[in-house]
Amino acid sequence: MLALPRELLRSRELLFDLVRKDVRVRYRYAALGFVWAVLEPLALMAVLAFVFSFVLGGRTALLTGGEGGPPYDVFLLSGLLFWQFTAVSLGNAAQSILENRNLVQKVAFTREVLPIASMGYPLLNLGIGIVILFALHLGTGGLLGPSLAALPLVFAIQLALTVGVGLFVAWANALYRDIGYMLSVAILLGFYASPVLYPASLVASSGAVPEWAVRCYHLNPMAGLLSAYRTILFDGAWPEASLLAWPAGAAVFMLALGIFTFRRAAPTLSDHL
Amino acid sequence: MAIIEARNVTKTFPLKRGGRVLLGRGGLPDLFRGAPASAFNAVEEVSLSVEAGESVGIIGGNGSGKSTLLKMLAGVTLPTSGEVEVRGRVASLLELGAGFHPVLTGRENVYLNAGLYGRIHAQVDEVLESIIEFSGIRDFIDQPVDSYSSGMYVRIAFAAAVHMDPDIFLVDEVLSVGDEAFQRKCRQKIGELREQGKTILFVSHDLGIVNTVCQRVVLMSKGRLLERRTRQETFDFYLRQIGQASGIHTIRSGRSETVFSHGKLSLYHDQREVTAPQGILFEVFSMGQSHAGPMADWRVTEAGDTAFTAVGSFARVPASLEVKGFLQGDKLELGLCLTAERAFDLEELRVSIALPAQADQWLFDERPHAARMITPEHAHREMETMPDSHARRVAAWATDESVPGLGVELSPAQPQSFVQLVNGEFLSAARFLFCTAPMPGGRRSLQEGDRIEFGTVVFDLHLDAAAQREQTESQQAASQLDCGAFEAAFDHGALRLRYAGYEAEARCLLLSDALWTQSPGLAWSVPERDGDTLRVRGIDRRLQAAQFWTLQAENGRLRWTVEIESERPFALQEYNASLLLDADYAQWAAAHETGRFPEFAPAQEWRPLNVSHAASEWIRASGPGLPGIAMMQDAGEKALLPSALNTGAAQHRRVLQMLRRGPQGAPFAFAAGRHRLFSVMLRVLEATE
Repeated sequence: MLALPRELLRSRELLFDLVRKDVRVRYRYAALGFVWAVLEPLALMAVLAFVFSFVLGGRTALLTGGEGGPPYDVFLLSGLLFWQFTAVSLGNAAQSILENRNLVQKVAFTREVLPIASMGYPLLNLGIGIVILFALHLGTGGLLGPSLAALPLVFAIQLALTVGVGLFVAWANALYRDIGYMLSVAILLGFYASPVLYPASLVASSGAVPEWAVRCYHLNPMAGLLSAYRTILFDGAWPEASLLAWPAGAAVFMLALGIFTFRRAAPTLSDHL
Repeated sequence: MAIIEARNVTKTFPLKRGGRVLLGRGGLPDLFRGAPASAFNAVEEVSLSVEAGESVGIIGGNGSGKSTLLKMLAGVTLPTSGEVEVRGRVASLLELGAGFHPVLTGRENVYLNAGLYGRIHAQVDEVLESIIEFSGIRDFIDQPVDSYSSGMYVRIAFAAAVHMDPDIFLVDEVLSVGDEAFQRKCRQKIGELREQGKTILFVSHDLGIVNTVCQRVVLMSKGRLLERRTRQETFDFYLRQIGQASGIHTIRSGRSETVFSHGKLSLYHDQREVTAPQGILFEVFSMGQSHAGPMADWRVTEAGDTAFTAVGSFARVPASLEVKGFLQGDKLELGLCLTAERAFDLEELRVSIALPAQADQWLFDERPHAARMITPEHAHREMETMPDSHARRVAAWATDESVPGLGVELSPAQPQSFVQLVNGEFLSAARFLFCTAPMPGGRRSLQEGDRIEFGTVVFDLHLDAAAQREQTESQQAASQLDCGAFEAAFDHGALRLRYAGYEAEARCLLLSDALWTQSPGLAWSVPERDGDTLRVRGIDRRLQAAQFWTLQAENGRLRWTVEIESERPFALQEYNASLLLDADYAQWAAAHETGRFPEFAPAQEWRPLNVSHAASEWIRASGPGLPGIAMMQDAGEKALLPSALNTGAAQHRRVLQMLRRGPQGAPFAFAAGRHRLFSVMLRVLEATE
């Protein structure tokens, strides 16, 4: 398990080459090319913001924390971006071994590179999204404070979690293709069961949700992470430690599990392709 | 220590490949029932140990486990049980386009591919240029590879793989996609890798190429690995296995052994292979096409302990070839007879004998010949100039005795039969002695049932190399003359003068019917020695004349007299005595003129440098610190014209000539009989500053 960081460091150029390949493959026949990397998250946000503003009418302020809060579309984008990173990364990671079967079957190399490289493109998307998010935030009267320093920390937790789960689903899907289908369902469920469209506080405060369900809700590490991002951005405050403790623990556990199980499965992955 | 070590390796696959299943055979229900999932052992209990520098061929039918074995050695998958240890960097060409992505350009793919082998960009930058150069697709290197043809694909993939500087090179049946030129390049490269001591594992169905590339052959059969005592036995086992047993037979006598296998003969003595892996083949030439023995369908009709008869029917010429072999002691007597099954035109019959490239010492009848070294530059077969193509006894052995020698004695039935020595390309690492029986007039129309005898060939499988060497050495000593300041030796139509570390070469050149004849192209007899005089005779088949040379050492000089004899009148436009010198010679001088040798330039090739063509009794060359060298006309000799020239850059020699040209371009007419062409003195002078 300790060998992995060293091997990844040695294969860093391969990692970048694979990411570049991903980007190249994606935009090769697109007339707008890389512009889609910007348009895609914006369009998704626009659709969701439009639909929910329509449904909720003037009640969006309830979701975003009253009059002083950010506009709903900025609020939505802040959750959506970080959620999309994990969701797309996991989806990609699950397919990464299968898609690169002609590499896996012919050459011996550090297999972890494949799922990890498949997260490069979502990461790039996230980077672009964050720039848009900050621009919209500032443009609508928001402020960026020193609390931003906590953002990398929160993201590190999210990244560890994503890589851990990603490695797990990567090998598991190569062995049992069912994993891929199960993952799509889980991601769809996660989208609604995470505070993307609404703040996490709404779940507890609505009163309609029983106590045990709220507790279950908070077992989802994404709940704590997405809330933490919003605290940083919209409240200008450091997230509470209690909010991150569980996601951090889950991330460490998943990362260890992912690395360990992937290592075990890696040498014979090619037999299952 | 073995570089590749596989111990009791077994690889089991579930019958249903691909992702595991939960339901159905081998799935959960079976697991609950306790029924074992049916599985298939692709590789079973295989142990293989390969030493560094070995080249191992893996043959076997489809689905025999070759590729699975190779995959485990490449580290792409693990064995189910057993151990695989590979000590060294592996580059593998397991399949077309492995490690390539169709959307990326050739250049990007080279980087990506190198990354998979653990190389960083900086390492690739160093070899990128030679990769592009080797692949020969520079114009397309920045195109996405999905626009490549399969041949271009394999070119770039092969080039990238060999430039990764692997210790071990695994190749799985991909090279056949490239075109002829590229395949040759690949074979040459593989030969070089082999020469550099890289370990090669080569999987192919093409026994021919496995035979040339690999020193060792193993056979995979139903997941198991087999290896016989010799490579040929492994091949034979395989051929028997695929139901071609009827074309194989082995005869033995004492320590000698001859294996006939589908039109190819391999000779062994004391368990050592005397012939090269290409063996002895029979070829039939018709309509300008060669039909080689292995292309025929062979049947051994008589299979004795020391004798066999085999009949091969050719698929594309209506003929069958009967081969009879008889082994007695260490001698194999081989008889060959062609029978026409329908009317067709026969041009030639040939027996091609392959010997390892190490066999560099040859003897044609009495005349010794040292064959050129075969280097990676040799991408084609190349004819070797040899002393006598009408020799009936040929012997070959290696200077270092690393391979056994072979003697060949021909009793041809066809009067015009001749032998040729051909150096194989680098990878084949073989020399070929062609014994050819051309039909009179170049072609003979055969009727159904016509029989053409090739004659008999006797092979001596236990050549006494020491005796041959002795003979060669005494031959060479007999053709040397000590002239004081230099030593002169007659060598197949060339006169070699050796002095102070330099070698000059004298030849006699004749121009007739606008074609130059050079004396080394003649068939020369063994020199006869009489004190300080050597006499030698060369047959000029084109002019149908004989040259007689007399060489006399006299007061530190060498007198060289050339006479010519013909039974019918003939004509020469020009003839000369040419002296080829080292390129270090800078100046020349004749009685009326002096000059410098210019740089070698295409326009200057064999062009006289002198302006004056007045007769001169002498011409000489000198250079800084070099002994001067001079050619003079002999006392009482008719006037000769001097000339100085440069050869082409490839030959890179300075030339001095003493020549005689017909008046006003008209040829000299010679009556039938013997005439003196010229007599000159050769002399080496003191070194000049």
